[in-house]
Amino acid sequence: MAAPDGKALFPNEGDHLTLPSPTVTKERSTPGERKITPKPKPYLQEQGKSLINQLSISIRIAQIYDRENSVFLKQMENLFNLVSSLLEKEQVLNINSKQGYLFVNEARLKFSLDGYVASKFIMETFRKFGFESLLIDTPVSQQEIDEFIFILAQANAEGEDPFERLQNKLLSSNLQHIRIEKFASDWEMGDDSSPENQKKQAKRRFFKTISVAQEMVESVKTGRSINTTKSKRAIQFLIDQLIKNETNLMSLTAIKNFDEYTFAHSVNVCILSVSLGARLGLSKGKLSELGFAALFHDIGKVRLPLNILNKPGELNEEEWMEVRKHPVFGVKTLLSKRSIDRFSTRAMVVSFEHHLKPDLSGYPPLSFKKGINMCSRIVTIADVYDSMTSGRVYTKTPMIPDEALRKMLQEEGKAYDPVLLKVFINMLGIYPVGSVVILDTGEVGVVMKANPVELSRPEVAIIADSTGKKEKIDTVDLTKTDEATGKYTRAILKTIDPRQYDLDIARYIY
Amino acid sequence: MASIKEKNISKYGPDDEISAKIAEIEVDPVVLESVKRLLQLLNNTLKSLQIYPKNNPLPKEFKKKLYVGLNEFLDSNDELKLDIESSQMMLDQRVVYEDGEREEGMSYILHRDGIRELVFLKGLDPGEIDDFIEVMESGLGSKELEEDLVTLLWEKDFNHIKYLVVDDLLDVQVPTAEEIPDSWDFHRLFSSEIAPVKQEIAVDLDPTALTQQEQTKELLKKLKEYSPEEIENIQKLLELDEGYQYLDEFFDILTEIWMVEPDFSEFDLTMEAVEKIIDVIITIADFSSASKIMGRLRKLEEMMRKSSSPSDSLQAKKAERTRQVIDRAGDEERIKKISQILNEKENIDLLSVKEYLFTLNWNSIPFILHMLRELKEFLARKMVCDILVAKGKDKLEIVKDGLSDGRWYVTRNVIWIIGGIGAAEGVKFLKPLVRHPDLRIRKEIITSLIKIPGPEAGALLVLLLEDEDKRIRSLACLGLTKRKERGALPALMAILKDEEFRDKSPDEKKYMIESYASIGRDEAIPLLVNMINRRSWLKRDKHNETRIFAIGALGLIDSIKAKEALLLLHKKRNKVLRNACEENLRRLELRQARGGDGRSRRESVISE
Repeated sequence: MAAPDGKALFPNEGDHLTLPSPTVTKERSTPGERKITPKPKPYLQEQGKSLINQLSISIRIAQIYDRENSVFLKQMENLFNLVSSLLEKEQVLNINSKQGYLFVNEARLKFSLDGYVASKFIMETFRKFGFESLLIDTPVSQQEIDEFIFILAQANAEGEDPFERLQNKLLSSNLQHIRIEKFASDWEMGDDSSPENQKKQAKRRFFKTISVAQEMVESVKTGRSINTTKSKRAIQFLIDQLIKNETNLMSLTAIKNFDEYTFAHSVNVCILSVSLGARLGLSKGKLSELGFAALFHDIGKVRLPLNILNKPGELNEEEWMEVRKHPVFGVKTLLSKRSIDRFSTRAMVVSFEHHLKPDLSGYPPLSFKKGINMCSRIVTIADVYDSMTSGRVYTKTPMIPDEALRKMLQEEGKAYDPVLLKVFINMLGIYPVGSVVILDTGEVGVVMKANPVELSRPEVAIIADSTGKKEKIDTVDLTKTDEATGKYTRAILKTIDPRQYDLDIARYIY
Repeated sequence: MASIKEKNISKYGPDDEISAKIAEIEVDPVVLESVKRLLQLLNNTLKSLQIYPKNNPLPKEFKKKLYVGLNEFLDSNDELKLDIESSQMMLDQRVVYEDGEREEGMSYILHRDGIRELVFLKGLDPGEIDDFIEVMESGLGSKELEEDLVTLLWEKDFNHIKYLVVDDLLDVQVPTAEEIPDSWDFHRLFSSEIAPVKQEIAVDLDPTALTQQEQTKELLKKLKEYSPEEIENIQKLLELDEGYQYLDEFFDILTEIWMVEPDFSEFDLTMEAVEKIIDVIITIADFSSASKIMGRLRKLEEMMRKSSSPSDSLQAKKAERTRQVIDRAGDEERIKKISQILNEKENIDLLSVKEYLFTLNWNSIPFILHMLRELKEFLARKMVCDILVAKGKDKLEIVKDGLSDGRWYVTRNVIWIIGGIGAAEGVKFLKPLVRHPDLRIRKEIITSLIKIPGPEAGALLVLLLEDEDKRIRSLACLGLTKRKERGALPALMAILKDEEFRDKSPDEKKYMIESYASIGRDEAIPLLVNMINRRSWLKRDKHNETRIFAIGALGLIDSIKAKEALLLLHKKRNKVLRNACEENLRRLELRQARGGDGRSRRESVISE
């Protein structure tokens, strides 16, 4: 079998698989002169998104139903029809997961809210089994598609070399036109793109951003000029990290007992806001504006008296009046930067608006404004959630994450943009990362990763078994079922407040 | 995907290590040469874009060649990885590009912003090349680049261009899990949290727990699925944000703050910041934003004046401070800066400069006037003239100061401006210049006088009929004709009756006679007929020339009386005169048959 460019697509054993080169039509007009005209393929973007959705649905259906079930068969028919129609135009389909993006041939798919879960699910499936590319060649049959989906849905990603085991199963099933290709090393990580290294990178990135935020605030306090380039770079790095692996950074936002929590709070709000923005399909440019604004949403607090900021008890009315000035102080502080661009103006707008509610109540009081900026709406949600769970100025007693989300949900529409809040909760899951949970097995665990498909079944690190033995074992996936009974092996019974038992979740997150 | 990676500069090692490596690495000389050519092509593309507009064929051609060349290279080499140094680019430690001497070239701008490696990958598309060139062009074009090169590259989110950026991430101290004490009270947790749970599991879940489970399921369902309305709401929010106008939003919140600011010193501080912002914006030649800011400030001043009252002097004080900011934006220093920018920078959007200048207060007029001395380009000077026409309506006293400038072109521009303003008051400023030694100035006065209504302007034009230069006299005739300046008739009549009239040049004679006919119409017929009938034995050729012009002028009058006069004159024995009458009658009839607008051809020409 040969690819259109004449290179072997599925070469003999020992050969390396060659990715089809991006589609360009090459003509020679005059000798020695080469004319290259790119062939635009807008359909790849739209149909590519449908393909990812259909693949995601198919795998999930195959995890529930057996191969003879009509629901499964109907879904497989849909998938086959879509694949066939794409193959008529493309000859080869290369679904590739790279650097936090999904590609269908040369098209990098842009996912918005409605396709986000499916794309995350597919990327996660690829990652779990260690493959970067799924290649489908013409003429693939319905039977081959059914077989592949079924094998993939039933395969176990736990244990040694899941790629090898999956690959062997596919080979033994004699799939002629479907093949997977292993992850190549990450260009950015060099040769060490292991999960441990990625985690280490994320941690460094997180603390680097804290130090940048701290530096900027110090500059403001001492009246020095503000270097925004440093902050922008730090945010760009964070966004890149979030696009590739959201979990590592999100888990760090759950740690609340930093010495200088003010700065960690800003970084947490930045991470939570950018993650929410990414789910809405915002471009990198918009995400960095949002990140910048989120990082400096509370910059006005530098002008508040320390005795109010650090007051251990509840604030009195006079103190509250002072606190309510910080959005305006924020604008004035950023204004002193004496240069305006889309970053600083967005930051000023967010600083001004992040305590305003959708009905324009809240503070500061308004006279002319008619609406609230999208970034402000996002930052408000992230700010309140992080404040509630850390026991900051507004609520002195920290809430456990799921309790905070429930409380926020009670005020949806009134205090927060209802749809954005819904996206936020979908992002964090019912049990957000860092929640300490008691499982129905009697085990104690810390939620390490949200499940975008099954919100109540995240990945959990078991930190103590049911006999009372403290331990840290591998993370378990709560969607895992018992092969014999088909029932889930574990479920969350309830969440607890770790602070009551002096349990520091940072030990399990670091 | 354009990506960023931490990298320690020291990784490159000392020079001796590099030299040792150079000896080890062999580079295909053909590859080396083609990379050199490609980088030269990139450099040429960027340089051509600094000189020519984007749609000029030259940069377009360079760009095309670069795209073709890069793809040919990548077809056979998969990637082009360049190490970036402060003034050089290296391929496998061989120099493949060098910035010119004392030049802040491609290497310099990349290195300055921390880029140490640049990689082009196979599959590069024209859009990516365009975007890359656009970023590099911004980097080369402005020293005051608000967003650094890395930000610009990063936001382009390339699929086939990557780069490494210096990052001091390795210096960050991070805590480790081992540092966190493992001292939590498990026994207390076990007895209060796990033991009761174990009991619950043993007796199975009670009905209340089942209801809770159902509620959770419901909640999950509500959370997981987005309704079409919700998707639509998000879409609306995103669309709204696509049209986000950062300056508008910025001034919306500032207006909120300013209007209620109780502390004048705080207000003053923010206004000071706005002044600095305006300075920065002008420096980076963003006149569109600058004019937007000025518009908002003017509106703010107005709102504050409206809301001020005798009992509340703060608003009036704030309004006054706002006016000062607007005044400052048009002071000598800032206007000089604008002139400097217009003289030094290419491709400045003059329309936005015009908008900005228009928003300034009248205090700026003397300095804007001064721009006419400084600006080198015609289009920029024209823009300033237009602005002064618009802004100088009530400030002629200031504008007229430019008339005394020693430079002829400034004086001429100001005469044009006075004409554009079109105020009768302007004539008195032009009058002293009617005997200006420079012909160009006197010509411009005529052009301006045509546009200024009132008898004073006409009288000045009449005065110019006596100019020493026949071209000015002829132009004055045209001007008078265009104005239908009846006040000029006696002067014209006197000139036509003068014995020396026939000695004037044919052109001047023609203009004068036609002017007299066009303005006087039927009133002019007797003198014209008289001029035709009059016989003279001296200078007969010149006399006959005058008679022919007079017949032509009758033909231009296009009235019954003029036709009758021509019919009478047609009976003359003089064949030349008869033929001239015949010709003019024929033209007259033709015009009438075509249903003309009644205006003579000359009149039409003049009015055009």
